[in-house]
Amino acid sequence: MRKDDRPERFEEFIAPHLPAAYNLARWLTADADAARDVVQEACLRAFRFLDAYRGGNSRVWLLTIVRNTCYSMHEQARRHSGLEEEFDEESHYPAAFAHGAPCATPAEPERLLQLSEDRALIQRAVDSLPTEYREVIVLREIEEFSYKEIASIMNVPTGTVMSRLARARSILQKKLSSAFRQGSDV
Amino acid sequence: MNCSETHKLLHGYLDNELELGSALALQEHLRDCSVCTAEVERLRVLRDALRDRLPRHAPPASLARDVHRALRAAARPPSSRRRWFFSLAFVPAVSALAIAGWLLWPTLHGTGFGAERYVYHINNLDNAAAALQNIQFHLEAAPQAQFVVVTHNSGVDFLMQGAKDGKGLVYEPRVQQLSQQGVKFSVCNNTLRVRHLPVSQVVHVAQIVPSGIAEVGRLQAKEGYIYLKP
Repeated sequence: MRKDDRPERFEEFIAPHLPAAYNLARWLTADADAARDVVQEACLRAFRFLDAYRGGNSRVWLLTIVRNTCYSMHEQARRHSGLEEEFDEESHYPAAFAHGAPCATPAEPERLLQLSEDRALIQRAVDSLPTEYREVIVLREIEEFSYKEIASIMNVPTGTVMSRLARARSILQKKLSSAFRQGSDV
Repeated sequence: MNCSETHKLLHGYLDNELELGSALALQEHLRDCSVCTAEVERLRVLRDALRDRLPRHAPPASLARDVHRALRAAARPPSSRRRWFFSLAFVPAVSALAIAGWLLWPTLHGTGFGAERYVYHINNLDNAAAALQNIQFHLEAAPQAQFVVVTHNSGVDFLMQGAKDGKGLVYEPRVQQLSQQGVKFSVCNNTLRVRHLPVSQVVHVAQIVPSGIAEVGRLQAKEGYIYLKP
């Protein structure tokens, strides 16, 4: 009978990434209790399928399971997602990128810098994003995965990662700019 | 590279994800285009703000412990579990063992070979308060005996934090007191999953077992526990 070495392999490859797993689950579900449930369920699944993990980036492997668990378990994430067709980069790039757009003034970076002092404002802005944009921001800006790794986790082509990131950042810029102009919430 | 192509690749450039040729071409364009340069700057400010200001949510201290507890329950050797559950000889084997155990009991007990062991099976919350009382009395009558309480279905509810009985009294102190006297409490993981109850809500003295029913059977057949249903 082969000795079950999954506990040791779990400790070595999976357990170190529990904090990252929780962070992703927390951002996706926006709820601490739900995040805890997701991580527990994801770890059970990871343990059960540990034989299918054949080396490679174990953080990517675990967070893929966490992400899928979020979507299958959490109603809120399901409701906000549902981006069926991917963006056509040409027609969906925001107007701000075009020549002569009103907000493309030299003063803009300074204003954004001031805004960025407000952590709560930034967190609220990201929290208010639809799930598929929030997740790409979290995976890129907090977990610092590469486009390729994000593509693997989200099960999309790398081009889609870039266009989704572009869209997410554009939405955030608009939210933060308008918050500054109106002096109110995002 | 013109502005339109640059716009498509701007984020990839900012994130150092472009292959070298494209990155250099884009850089060339930026040298001559103040609008695109300003755009890159805006994005850089935003990206840096996100990196600096977005919090990493730290897990609660109990998370690692709860995960390991749930895994311990799942880590039971699958081969022995499968053999047990799917064996065609399951029922006759249990019956034979039970009868043999019952017949041999006086002999074994007399030699001090087997201590008294009782498994209390609770699968209904309505029986919990009375069961805890029974166990207390039983313990007083047989202080050397070993007790395991196995719960599933609604029987797990009295082992959740903050649970109260019909009179509004919290269960946990009674559970703690029995636990200190050596009584072991088990909670069925299948029940937790099916009823979406978090492992973290289970009182800390209780252990998680993969299947309450299987545990009840195992304790009797493999460890000579006597079955009691209050």
